[in-house]
Amino acid sequence: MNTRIKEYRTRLTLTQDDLAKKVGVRRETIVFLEQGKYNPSLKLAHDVATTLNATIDELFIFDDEPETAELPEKPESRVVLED
Amino acid sequence: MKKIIQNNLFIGSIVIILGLILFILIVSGWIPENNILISVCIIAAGILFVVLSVLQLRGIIEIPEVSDERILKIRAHTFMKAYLFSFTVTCILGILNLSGIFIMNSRDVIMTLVFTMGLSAFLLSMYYNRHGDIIEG
Repeated sequence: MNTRIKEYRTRLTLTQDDLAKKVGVRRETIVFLEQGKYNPSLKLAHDVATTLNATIDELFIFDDEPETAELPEKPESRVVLED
Repeated sequence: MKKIIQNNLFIGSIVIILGLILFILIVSGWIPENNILISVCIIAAGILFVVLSVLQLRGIIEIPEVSDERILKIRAHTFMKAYLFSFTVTCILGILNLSGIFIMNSRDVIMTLVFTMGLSAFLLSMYYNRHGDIIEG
C-alpha cells in the first residue's frame, strides 16, 4: 500500500505532529501511515482524509490499482430508437 | 489521564502494603517459605510504581496521553499471541509431565508461564512496534 499523505500534508504546510494532533493519534502512527506500513481503520483514514481536504481514494493507493487514479470516463450516450 | 495516574498510585500503595504484610508473615514465621527477597521485591515494585505516579502527577515525567488505535491494535494482538504461545508451552509441558519424561512442580510451572508469557509479549511488542503494524505469517 502506498499513500499520498505526505504530499497532501506538505501542500497544507502541516507537520507530522500537527496532523497527528488533529486526528488524535501519535506522530509515529502518521510516520508509518506515510510509509504505507500501517493499515489504518476506516475511521482514521476518513479523519486523515478530511483533515487533508482529500478523499480516502486519493490518499491511499493499493497495490492492485494504478498509482495515478484517473477519473472514470463518461458513459457513452445511447440513442434509444422508438418504434 | 489524571484519573489513570491516581489509579496507578492506589495500586502502588496496595502493592507496598501487600509486600509489607508478606514481609511480616515471613519474618514472624507464619509462612514456611523463609525467602524475604520475594517480599522485598514486591515492596520495591510498589515503591517504584508510587514514585513514578507521583512524578507524573507533578509533571516531572511526561507520558504520552494519546493511546491511538495502532498501539491498542498491537497491544491486543501481542497479548493474544503471548497467551497462545504460553498455552502451547503449557500443553507441551503437560504432555511431558503425563508421560513422565519431565516432572515439574507447581512453582516451576508458574514461573515457566510467567516467563514465557512476559518474554513473548515483550519481544512481540518490540517486533510489531518496529514494523508499525501487526504482521501475519
